[in-house]
Amino acid sequence: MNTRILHFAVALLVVATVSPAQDTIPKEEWQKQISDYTTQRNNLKNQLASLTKESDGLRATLAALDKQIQSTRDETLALTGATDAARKEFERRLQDIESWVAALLPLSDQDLYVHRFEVDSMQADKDRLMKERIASAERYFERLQKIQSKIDNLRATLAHINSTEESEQQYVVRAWAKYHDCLWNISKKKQIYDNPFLWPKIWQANRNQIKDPDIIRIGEHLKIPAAGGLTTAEKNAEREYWSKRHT
Amino acid sequence: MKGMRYISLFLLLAGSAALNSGCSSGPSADELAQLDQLKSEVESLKKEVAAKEAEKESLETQVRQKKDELAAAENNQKLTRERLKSQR
Repeated sequence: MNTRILHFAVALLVVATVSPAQDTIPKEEWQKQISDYTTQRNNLKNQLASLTKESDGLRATLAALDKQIQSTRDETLALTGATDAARKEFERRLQDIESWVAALLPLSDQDLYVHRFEVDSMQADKDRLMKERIASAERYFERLQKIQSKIDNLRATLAHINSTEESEQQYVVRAWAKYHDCLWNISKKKQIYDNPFLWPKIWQANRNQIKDPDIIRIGEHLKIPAAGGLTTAEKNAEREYWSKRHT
Repeated sequence: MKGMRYISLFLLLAGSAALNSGCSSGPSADELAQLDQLKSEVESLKKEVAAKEAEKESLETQVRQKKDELAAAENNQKLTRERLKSQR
């Protein structure tokens, strides 16, 4: 029993002597670390102070540059001699054309063709703006150039539509027995209008050779006008046809 | 005899333990706390310096962009003068 107690006491002592030695560091090492960390802290503080000073300097430079940019822009605008009211008016007219162009750009080829004359008016308006002194200011000049480029795109699309129209503007009538060609069916064709209700367009475009729209002859060359909604004349022609049929 | 051996071993270990803890030259608890505080201060300063460096870099980029913007504005002014001359 005594031996067991003695064993336990010895084990306790071993733990007591070893563990404090693992947790601590010698005084010299502590001194060295204190000195190293103090030096590091002081260096970092100096670095931080210097960085803060540099950042403050950069902020001041930014503010000065902003001021310089604004004054250069103001000077440029002043060169044109335009008053505030004139600038506002010019801006309004510019925005009008921009909105006008933006409204035409997404139109389908057919709808654009219907509005084709507006492109010329747009061009005229843009040219009028371009002649004003204020248009020389870069901020307006660039916008006017963008408008011109969009108008050019619209013109290119219209030119393409016209060339397509020219190549497809004729249709040669084939036999009813085999092809069931009549104005209604021709209008219904995918490559024509894909819409049978537009048959009065073909009739109206060929009134000189088609007296009765129910009668077309094999081999006849029909003009096919551009697609789009029925014009007033075409609607009237259709009305005339139906009224004749009912009487 | 066996008991004597244990007693002398016990005395030897007790003596060395006393020497190790009581007479050692290690730092005190306060001194160790001071070192810990210094370490955490250094860590926090390192983070602040890194953040300031990033901020400075971003400001330098903004200054470069503003300089380009100014050059463009000056060039625009020159072009405007030329266009106005040709309009006359």
